[in-house]
Amino acid sequence: MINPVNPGNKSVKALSTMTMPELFDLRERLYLKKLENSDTMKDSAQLSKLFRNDPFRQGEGILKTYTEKDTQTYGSAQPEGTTGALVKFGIGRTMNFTFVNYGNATTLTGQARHFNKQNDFINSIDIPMMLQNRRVLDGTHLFTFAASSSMVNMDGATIDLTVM
Amino acid sequence: MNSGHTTAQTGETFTNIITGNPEFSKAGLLLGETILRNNTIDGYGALGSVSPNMIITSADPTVLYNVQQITGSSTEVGQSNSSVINALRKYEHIVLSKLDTDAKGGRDATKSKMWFIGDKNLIEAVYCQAMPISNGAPVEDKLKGYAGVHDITFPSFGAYIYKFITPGGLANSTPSS
Repeated sequence: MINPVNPGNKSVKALSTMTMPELFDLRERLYLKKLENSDTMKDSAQLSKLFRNDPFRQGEGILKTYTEKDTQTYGSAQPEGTTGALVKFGIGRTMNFTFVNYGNATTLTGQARHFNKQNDFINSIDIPMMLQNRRVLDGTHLFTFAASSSMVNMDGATIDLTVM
Repeated sequence: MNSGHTTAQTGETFTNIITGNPEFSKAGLLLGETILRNNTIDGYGALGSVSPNMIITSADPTVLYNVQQITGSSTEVGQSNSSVINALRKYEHIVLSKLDTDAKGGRDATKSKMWFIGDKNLIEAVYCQAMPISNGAPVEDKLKGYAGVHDITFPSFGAYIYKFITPGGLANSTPSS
């Protein structure tokens, strides 16, 4: 951070965590935005080429079921005087699944609002972007961990990857 | 990815792992095409149709270079005769910049060289969104504040799932280094 009591010189300190009083300490701050995840939108577009959209729609329940269906590929011989053989039809894997909820929240204190520090708040905390980053990471990790039969995500949930 | 997937009706096995997990190269790509072709079978074991048309990689510079050179050159790489066409110039290169990350999003160098070959028309994978990522209504806490100005909490949320439905149409190589 910039030390205002040392004019002409810069003092830089890397903070492992930043507390609310530090965030809204009523000084002007300069935030480095370049480290933000600028690949998210590009990756999101790439993932849309790999995953077909099939949304859960309101009123249609919270469970989806996909079942593989197969028929025989080639037709059969039918000897004279016989009835055509019934075609083979079978089902394969069936998958049932539901969605996962994601969410975060943050509080803008009355004190920060009183001293007009909303801009610091707005410029430094972008929760929808965090959730977008997470969404893209979740989609990407199905490929990252494809060689495994399962993975444990950052929330500690086990994701089954056996179908791949 | 599994070398022992089984068909539903006949129990035959098929693989979607590229043998030996080679790094991306012309030979590796042709091997991937072969694996994909030989292992695209239906539930009764009949050989299906596959047209490999995409390659998925991380943003590793060496991998990017190799994919773009091998599949993007107008003539075959290393070929001095400019009239020789590049038969591998048929792929869309899909770069997932976070492919080589661990569960928490940190860099995992052991995944940097992994790559996939696939047929977009055969992959059965879905993105099921229940609620778009959006901001909720701000909540004002009238018990907390400063000089009569209250604290406000801003929630954001979303709901979705990514799923693969079948193992078909995709083959993977995860080189050890």
